[in-house]
Amino acid sequence: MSTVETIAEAIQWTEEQTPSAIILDLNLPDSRGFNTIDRIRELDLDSVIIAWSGDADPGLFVDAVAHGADDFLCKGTASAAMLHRSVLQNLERVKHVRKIRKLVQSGKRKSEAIERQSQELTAKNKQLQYLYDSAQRFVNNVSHDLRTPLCVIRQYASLLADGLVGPIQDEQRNLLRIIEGRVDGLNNMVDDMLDYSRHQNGMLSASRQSCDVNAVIYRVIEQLQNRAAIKTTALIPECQPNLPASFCDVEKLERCLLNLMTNAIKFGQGNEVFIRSKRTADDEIAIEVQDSGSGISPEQLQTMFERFSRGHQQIRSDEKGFGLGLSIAREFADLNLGQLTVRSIIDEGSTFVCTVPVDQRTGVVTRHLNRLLDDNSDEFPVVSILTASVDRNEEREVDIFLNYLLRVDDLVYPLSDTKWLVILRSDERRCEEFTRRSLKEFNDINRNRPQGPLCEIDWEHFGSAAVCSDRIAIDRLITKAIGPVQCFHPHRRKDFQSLSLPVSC
Amino acid sequence: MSFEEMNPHEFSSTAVIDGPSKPKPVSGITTPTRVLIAEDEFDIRFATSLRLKAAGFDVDGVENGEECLRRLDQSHYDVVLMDIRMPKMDGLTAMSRMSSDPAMAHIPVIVVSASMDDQEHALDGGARYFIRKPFASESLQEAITSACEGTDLNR
Repeated sequence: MSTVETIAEAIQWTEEQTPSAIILDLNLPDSRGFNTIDRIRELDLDSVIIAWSGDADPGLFVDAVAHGADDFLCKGTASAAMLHRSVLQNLERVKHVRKIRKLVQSGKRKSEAIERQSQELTAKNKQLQYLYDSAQRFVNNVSHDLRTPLCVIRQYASLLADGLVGPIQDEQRNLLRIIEGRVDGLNNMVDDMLDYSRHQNGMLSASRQSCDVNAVIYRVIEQLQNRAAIKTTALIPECQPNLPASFCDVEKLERCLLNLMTNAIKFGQGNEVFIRSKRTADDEIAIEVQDSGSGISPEQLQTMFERFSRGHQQIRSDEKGFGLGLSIAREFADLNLGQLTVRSIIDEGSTFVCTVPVDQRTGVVTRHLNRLLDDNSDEFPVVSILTASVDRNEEREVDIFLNYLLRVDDLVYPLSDTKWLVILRSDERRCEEFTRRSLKEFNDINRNRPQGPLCEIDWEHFGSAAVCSDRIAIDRLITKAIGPVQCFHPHRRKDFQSLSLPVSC
Repeated sequence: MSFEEMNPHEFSSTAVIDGPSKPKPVSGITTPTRVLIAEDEFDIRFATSLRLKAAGFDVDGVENGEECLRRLDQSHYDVVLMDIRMPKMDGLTAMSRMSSDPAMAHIPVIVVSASMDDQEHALDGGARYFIRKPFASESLQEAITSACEGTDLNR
């Protein structure tokens, strides 16, 4: 403890050392009143200041503290013990204040950093949006430029085939029809380019319906006969008769099989290529494409599947022969709620197996929900259960519209000619957005419909629930929507064993 | 003579006269429906006009929006098939000029474009229908018939 007699001496003293506490008489020879406190505070010391005066006016306490004193004591009434306690208390308090100040400062620094990062993110997002937009523009322009010549080829082939520019023989007509068909196929591929960019947005969807797998197989073989003949490859169908109908996007299945067969012809070394269909489970049909080519090495198989695994969005075509065709086949098999797998033995050949679901509600719904669970995200996806009804049968028109409306992670399943079960991957709030969007699209479609407006669609929302292995909540919603259903049997049980699930879901 | 040099109208009229062609009446009017095609791509203009003539329509073709307006000014047409992306004047501009001219505002326009992105603009711009290239000839004829009938009803 040191003592000084004037404020000037006090200031000089603090130049060499910092006191923990200063007991300050307000009236010193060279300073009077609260000015004394001000002058010490100006020094910006971290010390406790206890003002000390002969005046007992209680109002002085408030003023002294306002000027920066930590406490105010009256010389006449304060005991040594009080003074001692005040010093200790305030030292403790100042320690806390310092700690708080430090925390506030670090909080401020962090919030500044966050602000900076957020600005950087905004700038980066803007840049990404720009890149994304220009990529989108590019795809749109390319697809526009490709469609124009396709339009010309298709129109001329069709004019020739219809005999509008002179008589034509049946065989010539058949070939021209093939040109028309292939142009449509090529046009679909242009659509795929657009689809691929939509895929990245989760905008790529499938238009699934009941279909005959064997008919698709025969159509694919027909389309590839010429190409196979050039390679002296025989295409041999081995279709299981009386197959149940499948529920899938026919066009996507056809594209998937076309790509697999094209590869088989390409790598089959002129040997036979088999295409087989068979029912492999209650709810599943498998289509096998088998070649007797040189086979694929285990290493190559592994990288093939790493590359095509879900969640890995990049489609690359740098690997000779197994590029876009196979990735699209895989993508489409997945969209059709099935899988694409391959077995291969070097020098013996490869067998690609593509599965599709049997057209059966419980199986299709289960596969759809499993597919959502396969997603790599940590959280359980939330789905909403709806029904869409119309008051008259519009053939497939409403079905097509509903399929058009839905995104890749949604499912629409026809319950009758006029009612559909819709499983949206969205919560309650997004469900409302969806209904709004559907209304807008509905109006847009009707503006461009020569045959008159489509009949109004009546949406009913039965609730939302998270998808997990315990399907009770979703079962209950579906029951509410369409009446009693049997319990869903998970198709791919392994998915559930590997998940650690919360107790209630 | 190369294919490019052929006059589509001469060529198609010979072909159509040879083929089974009859005028296509619309709502009791016996004169054939007159269609104007605004399309910069020669082949598409040619093939479309050939196809429509075979179906009994009376067809003329122009290469851009400017010519389209001039032709509409000179003679009567029941319907216009309009491309969007054309040199000199694009289809959307031509449509907006048409709608501000009382003599042309009533003529239905069917937009035929290769880009799906054009659909919204086309319909907002007053097009009766939007058809995407490539198209099946049936859907084009269906749209033309429907567009013309709509006009007749409005009269």
